[in-house]
This record gives sequence, C-alpha cells and structure tokens, in this order.
Amino acid sequence: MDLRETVLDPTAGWLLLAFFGIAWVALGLYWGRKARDLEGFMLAGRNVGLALGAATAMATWVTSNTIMLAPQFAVQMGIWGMLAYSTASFGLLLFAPMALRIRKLMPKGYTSGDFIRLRYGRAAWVVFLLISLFYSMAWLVSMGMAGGIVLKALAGIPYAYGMSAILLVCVIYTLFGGLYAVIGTDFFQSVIILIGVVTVGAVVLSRIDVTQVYHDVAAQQPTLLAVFMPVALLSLFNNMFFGFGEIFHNNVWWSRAFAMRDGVSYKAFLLSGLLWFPIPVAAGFLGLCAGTLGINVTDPDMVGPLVAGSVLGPIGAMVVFVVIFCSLASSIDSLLAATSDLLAEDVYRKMIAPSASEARVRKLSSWIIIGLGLLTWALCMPRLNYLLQVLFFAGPLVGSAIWPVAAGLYWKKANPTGALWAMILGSAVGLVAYFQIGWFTAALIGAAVSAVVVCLTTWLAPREFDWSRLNEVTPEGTEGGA
Amino acid sequence: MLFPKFIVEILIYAALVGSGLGMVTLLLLLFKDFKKRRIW
Repeated sequence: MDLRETVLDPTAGWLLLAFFGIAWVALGLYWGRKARDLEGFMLAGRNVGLALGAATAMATWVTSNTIMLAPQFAVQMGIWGMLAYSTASFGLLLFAPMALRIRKLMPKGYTSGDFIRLRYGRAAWVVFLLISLFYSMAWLVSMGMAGGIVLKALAGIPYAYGMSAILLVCVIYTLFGGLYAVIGTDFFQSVIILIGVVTVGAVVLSRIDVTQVYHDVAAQQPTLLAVFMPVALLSLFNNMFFGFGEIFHNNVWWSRAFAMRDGVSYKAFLLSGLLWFPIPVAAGFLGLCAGTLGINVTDPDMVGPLVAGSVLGPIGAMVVFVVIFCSLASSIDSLLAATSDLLAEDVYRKMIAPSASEARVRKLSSWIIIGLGLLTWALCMPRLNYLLQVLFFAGPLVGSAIWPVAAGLYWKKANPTGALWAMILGSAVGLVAYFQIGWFTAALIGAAVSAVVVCLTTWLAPREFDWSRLNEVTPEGTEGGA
Repeated sequence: MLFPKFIVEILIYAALVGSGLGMVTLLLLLFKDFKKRRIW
C-alpha cells in the first residue's frame, strides 16, 4: 500500500489545523486572564489541581515521537521495542516523590536552575543551564520540524506552512496565557490523544485477529517476538535513563512541580506515568499489524499512520492527524513556557539584573517566548534533517544530570564540585560512546559515569548542606515556610 | 525462544484498556475538582 492512498485531502488537513488552532488560541486567551502577575504567568498561581496536573504531565510527555516512533520501534525491535519506549514513563513515576520534596524544600522556587544554583553554586549552575537550554532547544526544533514533516506526509500541507502554523498557534496562546494556557490546553489535548489511541487500536483489533498477527510476525520476522534481543534490551535501558535525565533536570517538569497545589504533585506525576505507560504499546501494536495488512514498510516512522489509514480509511488518517497535532502542541507550548522561565528567571533576573521587578521579568518573559518561537522557526525552516538527530545527541548530556539532581535533593552530603564534574565528565564520556559505540548506549554511559563521580567525590570529601538554604527569599521579599 | 501468544495478546489488550481507563480517570478527576472548585 502506498502512503498516498491513505493521506488526508489537504483541504481537510487545513480545516482541522484551523479548527484546533483557533480552539487552542481561544482557550489560551480565556485562561490567560488569570495570568496577571509573574507567579500566575510562570506557575499558574501555584494552585493546579490533580486532574489538570496529571493531564499536563502526561500530554507534555506524549510527543509526536511517541505516536510515530513507537510503531517504528515495534517494526524494528518487536515486543521489546514497544516496551523500551514505554519505559520512558518510569521517569514520570520516579519524579513523583521528587516533586513532593521539591515543593517542600522550595515552596517559593521558580525553576530547576534555582535549585542547582542554591544547592551546588554558580559553576555547576552555569553548566546545568547550558545543558538544559541546549536540550530544550533541541527538543523544540525537533518538534517543530516533526510537525512540518508529519503534516506534509499526512495531509500534503507544505512543510514550511505546516511547521509555521503549529509554532504560531503555540506561541500565541503561550504568550497570552502563560502556564495557565499551557496546562489548560494540555488537559483537552491529553483526552483527545487517549481517545484517538483507543479508537484506532479498538477498530484495528475489531478488523484484525491478534492470533493472525502473531503467526504472521512469527513466520516473517520471528526476531520481533524473541524473548532475548540484546539491541532491544540495551535500547530499553538507554531509553529509560534518557527519560530519567530529561525529566529530572528539565524545567518543564520542575515548573509543574512548583505549579501544583500542596499535596497534588506526588499523585499527579504518579498518575501521569501510569497513563503514559500503555500508549507506546497501543501505538506500537499498529506497527506489528503492517505485515498482516500487506503494507510494504519503506518509511518505518510512517507505519502507524499507514496502518490506521488502511484500516479506518480517511477517518483513520484524520484521527492520527488530530492526535499528532495535539501531541506536538502539548509539548511545544510547555517547552516555550519552561525555557522562557529559565531565561527570564535564571539568566536575566539572577545573572544580569538582580534588582529587576516582577513586572519587568513578566514583560520580558513574553518577549522571550516570541524570540524562542522565532529562533525555533528559523532553525526549522531550512529543514536540515541532521537537526532531528540533535535530540538524541543530547541524551548523554541530560543523562549526566540525573545524579547531581537526585543526590542534590536527597543526599545532604553531596559534594558540589563532584556534581559539577559529574555533569562535565558524564557528558563527555557519553558523547564519546555516542560516536564510538552507538546512540543506544550514550545516555546509559553518561548516567553511569555521572553516578560514579557523584558517589566517589562525596565519599572522599562529603559536604554538609543546610536544606533551609533552598527556601530562598525572592527579590520581592516574599519568603515561604518549608 | 519467542514470546508466547497469550503474553502478546495480554500486552496489547491491557494497553488499550489501560489507555481507555486513563481517559475516564482524567474526566472523572476533572469532574471531582470542578465540583469542589479545585481545578486551579
């Protein structure tokens, strides 16, 4: 089957894009009325409830990659491939107790950068910011490019138009609504994603017999059903540690921990991990059905939409289109908001202008969101395919941040110089592994080196830390109680 | 050695049922938060 048989009519694609684009902007503007001060804009008033908290964590973690790459993992690595992708949810599960502790130690905190600066000092903070900003930009650019590529493949919308439209919609509602708009739209997006995944999966199951799929795969590609598949097992652990690194360090998740009401963050992150876990398996199942349906897979990352289109026709292509649009928007808006917070709070307020008022930082945040949108657009526009790989390149960098963050939160004696060198050496050795061994080992090795450095330096030279130092008095003079 | 068929079947059905339950849970939680005026 050819992809052209299953794609949407471009007019239908544009109509869907316009409908959902207008809906997100309208909702963003509606909720944005609450985002008057800095705390409202950056942290949704620190009062987010369980439903929105769980939904925003889940939707942000469902990217277009989850929908497109999970079936590809199934086609290339079989059962273990789907499970490998699902292990990315363990990061959300493990972040649940961390979010609780973050709220307790830093009731007035704003960013993950605040934590590293107060816990480990300036040098580690600068290295951490470089890693975090590099990773966030790589994620933003990969989402922008994926948006353009997928909309073109599914609906024939020209790459430049599709990519620009998605970025524009996300920039507008994040700009006016801040984290209120991001979290509010994330709820609707998460429900739509789940409805889409369940609907497509259920219809495919009603038309195809799983026994037949099993026998076809066993006959044509038995390795996909193999209990022992070394590459897939390695990628499972690599994916898991990449996920830990991405979630533990990034301000996308820290800002949510700060934004949730007291007592909500633990349950919300736990629930989001449980909601996320089955999605790659449900989406990956489509990849396993390709052989039974007689689909010739020439482009592995399009196997999911191909299967949905061949079983459900244009309706299936439409569902996949909407699910992918929601997945992209829920990640891009979160990245715009969280990265703008890092630049406004850490770089501007803490490095450049410590006496800046909250109103000034609030205004600057808006300009940063516009700037980030423009920079992402400029990097996505030439469609340089190697930029899509940069996100994987960031794997060892974020992997090296796992232990400094975890030890910093729980280990009173963690050595600050050790944390700095853990990030530097973990990144360096992980990058060497990326080029010399393969992408599927880089995050794992980066995290392992970082763990050894943190443990060794703390064992050799333990430093006592006073946890109350994390409860920083803000420049406006407000202080919370731990 | 290959995964037995029933394991693959359980995995796929559990993933779809799990996703469906997740969707219902989110909607119920929203309803509960809305009733108690604790959405934000």
